[in-house]
Amino acid sequence: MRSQSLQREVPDPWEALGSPDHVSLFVLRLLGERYAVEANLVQEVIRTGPITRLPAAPAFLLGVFNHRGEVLALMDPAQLLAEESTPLASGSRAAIVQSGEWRLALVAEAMEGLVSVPPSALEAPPATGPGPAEFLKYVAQTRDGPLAVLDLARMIETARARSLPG
Amino acid sequence: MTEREILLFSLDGRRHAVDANSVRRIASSREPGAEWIAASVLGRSRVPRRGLVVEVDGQERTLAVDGVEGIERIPAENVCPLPPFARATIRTAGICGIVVRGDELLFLVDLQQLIRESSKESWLYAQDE
Repeated sequence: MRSQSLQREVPDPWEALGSPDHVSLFVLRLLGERYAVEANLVQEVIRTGPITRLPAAPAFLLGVFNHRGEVLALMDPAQLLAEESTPLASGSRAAIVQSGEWRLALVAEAMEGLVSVPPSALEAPPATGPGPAEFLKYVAQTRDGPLAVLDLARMIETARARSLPG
Repeated sequence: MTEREILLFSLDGRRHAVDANSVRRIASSREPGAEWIAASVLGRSRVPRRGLVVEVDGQERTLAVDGVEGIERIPAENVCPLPPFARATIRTAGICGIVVRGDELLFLVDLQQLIRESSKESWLYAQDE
C-alpha cells in the first residue's frame, strides 16, 4: 500500500499518473526557484528551435516556433510571475501544455521532471496579491520542501486580460 | 493540392508575406503627391522604394516597404493561423497568420488592418522631385 506520508513520495511518478491516490506534478525551474504544473497538462518536453518574435507582443509572449509542422506560441511564465525574463537560446527546452482550449509552450530555466504527492500534501496557496502568489493553485509539501504549483488556467486568463486594449 | 499566392516584401530588415490578391498594385516611390504610411507595428521603412497599394474603407492607401521580392505560390497548408495564445495576446490585428517557408516563419500581414492601426503621424508625404 502506498504511503500517504508527505515525506514519502512514490518512487516512480510515472506510475502515479492517473492514480487517484497521488497527484503528479511536473517540476520546472523559474526565477531560480522550483515551480510545478499539474503533470496531466504537460504533453511534451521539447527543444524549441529558432524563435520568431512577434511585433506588438507583450513581454510574456516570446514568439512562435515551428514544432513538427505545428506553429506554437512560447510563453515565459517568469514574466507573469515577476516581470523577469527567462534566459532563452535556440534549443532551449520548453514544455508543451494544454489547458482547456489553449495549447502553448512554456519556457523555463530547467525542466526537472515529475514528482508525485498524495492529495493530502496539497495545501491552499498563501493569500493572493500581486506577484507569484496570484498564480498559485496549491503549495505541495514534498520531501524537498514546499513546491509552488502554478494555476496555468489563471495565468493564461490573466495574460489575455492584460493584453486587452485600453 | 490547393495553393495560395503570397507576395513577399521586406520591411525594416525582415521579410513578410501578404495575400497577393489583397494588393491592388505596387507603387513606385517616385509617384508624386502620394500619401504613404511609413511606420507600423512591423517597423519603419528604411528606404521606401516601393509601396503596397490596398483599398481600405473605400480609399486607396499605400504602405511603404523597403522592397518587393515577388509573388510565390505555396501549398495552402503552409499558411497557418496565429497560434490561439498569440492571437489572444498580441496587440495588433495586422498579423493574421504565419507562413511556413522552409525553416523560415513569415508573418502573413493583413494590410488593411495594419493600415487602420497606423496613426496619421506615421504617414509619409512623398515629395515631388
